Amino acid sequence: MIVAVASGKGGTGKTTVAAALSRVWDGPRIAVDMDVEAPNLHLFLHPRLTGEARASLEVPVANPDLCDGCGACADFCAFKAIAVFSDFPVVFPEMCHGCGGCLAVCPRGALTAGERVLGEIAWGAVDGGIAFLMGRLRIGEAMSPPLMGAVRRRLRTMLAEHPVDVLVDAPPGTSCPAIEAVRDADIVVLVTEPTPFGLYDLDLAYRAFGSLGKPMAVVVNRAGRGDKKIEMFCHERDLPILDAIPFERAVAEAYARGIPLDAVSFSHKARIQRLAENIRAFAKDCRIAEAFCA
Amino acid sequence: MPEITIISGKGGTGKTSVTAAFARLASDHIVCDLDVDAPDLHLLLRPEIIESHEFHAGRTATIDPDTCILCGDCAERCRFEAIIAQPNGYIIDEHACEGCGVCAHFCPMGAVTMHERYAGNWFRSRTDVAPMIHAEMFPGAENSGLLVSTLRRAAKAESERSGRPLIIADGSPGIGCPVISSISTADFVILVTEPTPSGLHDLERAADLCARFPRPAGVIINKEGLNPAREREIADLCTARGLPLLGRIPYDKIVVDALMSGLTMADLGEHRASKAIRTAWNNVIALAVESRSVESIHS
Amino acid sequence: MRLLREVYLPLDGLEAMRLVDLEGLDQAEAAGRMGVSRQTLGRTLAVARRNVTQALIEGLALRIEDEAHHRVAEYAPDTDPDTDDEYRAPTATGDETIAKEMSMKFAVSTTGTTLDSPVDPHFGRAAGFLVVDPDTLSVDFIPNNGAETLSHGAGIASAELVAKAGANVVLTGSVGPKAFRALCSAGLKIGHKIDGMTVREAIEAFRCGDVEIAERPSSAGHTQ
Repeated sequence: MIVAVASGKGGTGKTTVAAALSRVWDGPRIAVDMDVEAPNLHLFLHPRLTGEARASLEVPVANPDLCDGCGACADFCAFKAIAVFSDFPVVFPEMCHGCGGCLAVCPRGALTAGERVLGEIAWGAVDGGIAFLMGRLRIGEAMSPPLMGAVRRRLRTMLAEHPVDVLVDAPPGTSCPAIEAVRDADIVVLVTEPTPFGLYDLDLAYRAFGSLGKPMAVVVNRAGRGDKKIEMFCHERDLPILDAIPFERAVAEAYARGIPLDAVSFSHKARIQRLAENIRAFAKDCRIAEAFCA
Repeated sequence: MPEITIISGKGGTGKTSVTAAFARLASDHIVCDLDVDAPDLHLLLRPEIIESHEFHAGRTATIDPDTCILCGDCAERCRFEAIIAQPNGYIIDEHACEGCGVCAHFCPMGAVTMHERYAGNWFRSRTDVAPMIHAEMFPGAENSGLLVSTLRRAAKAESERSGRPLIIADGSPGIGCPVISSISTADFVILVTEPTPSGLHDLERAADLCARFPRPAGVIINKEGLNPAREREIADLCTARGLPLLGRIPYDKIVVDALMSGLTMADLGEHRASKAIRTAWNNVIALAVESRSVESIHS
Repeated sequence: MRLLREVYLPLDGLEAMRLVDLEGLDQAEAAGRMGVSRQTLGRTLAVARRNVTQALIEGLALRIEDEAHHRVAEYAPDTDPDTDDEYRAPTATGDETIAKEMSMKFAVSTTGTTLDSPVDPHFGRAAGFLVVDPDTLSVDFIPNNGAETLSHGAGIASAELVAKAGANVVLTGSVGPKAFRALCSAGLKIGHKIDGMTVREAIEAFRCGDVEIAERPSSAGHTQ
């Protein structure tokens, strides 16, 4: 199964939780960092990277000998990535979404596929039976989803060879990149904090991922400082709270030094192991519920 | 019609809290929340919606099952895995669809059509302190230059209508597209930062952005007291760049507690944080509205 | 010069004819010399030859212009029946300023619809453009639909709009990198950093040489 760890807002501790879960999870598993704009899962897991591949997007290149300046490409393009001003197309590769439409509509076959580099994907392993996969967006590249697509395809290949559980560290927020990251997930674990902003953004996340039909559960981080609004929110929506990790200076300091949550102390490790069990139990419940509904 | 936009290089510096406090302290103003991906300003200002408008951006495809002959050409051509084969036909995954139009163009039966995507709503609202223009996007929809310019235009219209000349805008975090839209027509930009490594680094990037337009700008250090060494670095950066340091808001638990109760730092009476934010605001007025020069705040 | 109907011969058309028809180069070689594709050369040549033939047959004036539409030379048939010469000697214009003023067609980004409306500081997201031809004194307002509908790429769409309107000078506040590239590809001159002026004032300022011509984008631009 694929578990995505997400959050409505940044800074709630999503990566901390994802890293700790990956470390204590039972059985072989793959830890995936889908936050390609600012990947930091590897800072906690310290994987040995064994492979890397460049990912590119197909963008049009015009052949002057074949092009007659008809402008069909520019008329088709929904993204203003290709425009014709006098008699030859001007390509804006950074606007291109790689849909291939212009290449297909050109009546002279004057467009061929060039590339825009998106970034790289890298893979390897962490000691203890954890496979690792991440994406790193090129500085200056505006779009995350195409690179995330490359990561997802690699993940599919890995799963085809060894079908195991997957823990995904999703990017924060609820816009395009976050949606892309949880696309393939079986369940989504939402990490939140008990502040008005945390609650509001949990609501956004609940609606966003709910609209994808994903079963969701909640982990409250830095708990103990706020009021009961988060609990009420979850209760009203039948959202199970799988754990409430208390606010502790020791944990914050450990984070600042790159020490994963489960390594802070034995009791912290036990806590994360219980969380992992709760997640598995939740996932099982969802499958049973689905079986009933089918 | 002075337009003051508040940005921060990174998220989480307290930009929204500062904006909310300024909204409390200002008079004859309109408030505009341009931070559409994470619109938190309304949590502090509690707007009452007067008018709601639909916002359309991009396109999405629809397949007419009655016309579709199940040839699968669209699914093959789609580069975004947005067309899914089901037992009784093909459907569009609207979250994955990027609106490129390839499927519609090539469908032999004309069974696929493109239509505008209803991406969210923007609102004209009232609050205790000022009229407010803000928006909420649906999941997966993102901020864009179009949305920012729509909101700004509404803010200007409201400003003229209500005779309130000042516009205070909560900009987007980061340095990408939406931020650039937010500051490109601002008269004055306030950069909120915090004394952490990323705070300094991202302040620099945000300052670069302002310098390229150019836009007069000033800096406010939030959460002062966490790291005096960093604060000095930030102050030095400001001096080097000719950016006035308009305020230093102390880091204090009371500010966080106030936040939880829906109060801004301006509501804390005689507390240090309240005084600091009021000083900052007076400096902003002097510089941005009255064009008087101010002295940088030293700790 | 008496008013005659004119046909235009751009300098590159003249050069194409010189290389192919006078120097005897084949089209591929001429294209190489001029730094264009063979396709482009073929088209340029065809248009040039057609215009010259039309001028000769129909007795029109042939006006030779450079890329900025400045008049470089003029050939006109002598319609005085008493002279033997069919064509007058070329009158190469020395008065660049007049030529410049006479051949500028402005597109000014604006928040309103008249000459007294303020210049819109943002080219890509401008509410509209006022296209002003000082020669004919025509003033046309073009609403910027792209600004209303496009999430991204409004700058490129705006460039397409003003290029199609036949403008050769854009006056605005700031132009981002994509709009800048688009406008340059379209051969438009860009007067930027205009602040706090009306359309009328901006055109006047440009004519006085008080507007900065953009040699690079005025702003950082959007990541999209």
